[in-house]
Amino acid sequence: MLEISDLTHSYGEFRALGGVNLTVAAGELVCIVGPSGCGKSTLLRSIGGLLRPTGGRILVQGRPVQGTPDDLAIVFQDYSRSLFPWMTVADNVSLPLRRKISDRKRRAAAAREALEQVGLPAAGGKYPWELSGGMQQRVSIARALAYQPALMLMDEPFGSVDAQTREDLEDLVLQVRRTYGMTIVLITHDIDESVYVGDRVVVLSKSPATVVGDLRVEVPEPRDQISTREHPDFVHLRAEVGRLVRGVRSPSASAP
Amino acid sequence: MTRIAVRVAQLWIIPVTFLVWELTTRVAEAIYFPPPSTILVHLYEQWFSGPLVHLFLTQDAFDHLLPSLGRLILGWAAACAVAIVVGVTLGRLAVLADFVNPLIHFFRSVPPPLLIPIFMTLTGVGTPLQLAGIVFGVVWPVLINSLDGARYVDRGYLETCEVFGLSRVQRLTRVVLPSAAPKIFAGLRLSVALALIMMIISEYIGSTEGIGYRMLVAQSQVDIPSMWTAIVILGVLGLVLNAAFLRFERHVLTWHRGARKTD
Repeated sequence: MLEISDLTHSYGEFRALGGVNLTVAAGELVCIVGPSGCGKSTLLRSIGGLLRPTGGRILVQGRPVQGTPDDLAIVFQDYSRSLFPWMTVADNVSLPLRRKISDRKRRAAAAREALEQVGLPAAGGKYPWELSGGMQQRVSIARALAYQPALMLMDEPFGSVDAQTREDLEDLVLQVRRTYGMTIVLITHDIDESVYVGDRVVVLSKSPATVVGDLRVEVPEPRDQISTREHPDFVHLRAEVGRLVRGVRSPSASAP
Repeated sequence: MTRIAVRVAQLWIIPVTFLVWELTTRVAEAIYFPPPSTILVHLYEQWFSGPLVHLFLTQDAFDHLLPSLGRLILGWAAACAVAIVVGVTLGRLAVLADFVNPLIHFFRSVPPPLLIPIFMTLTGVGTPLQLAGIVFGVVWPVLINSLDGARYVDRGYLETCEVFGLSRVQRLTRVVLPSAAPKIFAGLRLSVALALIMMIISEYIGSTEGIGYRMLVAQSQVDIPSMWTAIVILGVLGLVLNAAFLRFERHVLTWHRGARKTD
């Protein structure tokens, strides 16, 4: 689905990405974590075609990325700059569909269905700014879902909402992923979140970023905010990811 | 209840001003400052005492008021249409905008009344001159605001367009224009007042009809009440146009006020 090889990017003198290699299989949910300012967003923007990296190669479904690939959607962190305040929620969700569905009624139905999926069946006629932050981010997710991308990128999608909403949205991602079976790459700086949501957690180093860890998450399914987070495998894994993010070696590895 | 009270309180200012003005002018007995009651009577007689079939408009109104209004609206609308199209186009073509920017600011800085004699050599006296004057006065603020609004569209919005593959037309009509609308409207509102000024000045300098011309005639005949009625008409016209425009703007930009309130 997604193949990244030797990806580098520099902003002038500053090297953000120092050769990232990553492969994501179809249907996987991969979380990318790393310390603040490590180039996570640069990586995601490169995959999304919003930024032309200085070096390396990105293939989405076997094709090199030039501009945003057709079946790719992004959920941005800042929903207020991504949802259009002059359109109703339903229009925001259905606008990108014009290219894919020519019939207006079918477009509206697709938007309605996506809004139902994210738990906002009655919000279609409202404007984004009439909704809370968490609800607005749900609308962003609905827009991406209605677009039915093969690959969905999420850039710190829950960075601007409160803790309770954050947990609800994490569960929403798990749920839509089960329903739609799409490939998701989610970027976060929250270690717990990466382990809770991901099938795989990829850890980036400080900039210039490289992949320093790639861990498979194996916790009992279905996941649950309380019991999953207290499960020994979860606790162990988050400690492991935490060490990688901070650049500390694990005790087992450092033992002679 | 309180809203009605506030409304009434706001309206109070009108009769109070009227009364103070009336009393002051009556006591002072200055010839050049007739009492407002005299002005109102004159206003009625001069402009609005016509027959019912003419909607009570007098011959004076037909000769002077309507041509002025027609040119005002035509000139303003034409200038705004051109300014928005050119402004938005330049706003989306940053390189071109930087290139012509000095020219825009040069022309914008020239006080438009100064150009009326020059226009006159091209258009002669009459409606084309008035239109040229109004257009030149109105075009710059609208153009500059449209350019600015279209140029500085939030990057988040544009990236969203890019990601979801919106066509160029969709991007322009559904994203760039709405996003620039608050700025464009600010320019439009400014331009209403400018159009009014340019209407009068252009009629003052080169016309044989219109409110400005009528005022000039009144001046030369030392017809003080007629001068004052023209002033009152212009004031009311400005008030009405501005109010109408605000209503329209509120209607179109509901989202903008709502979004700002919640920020």
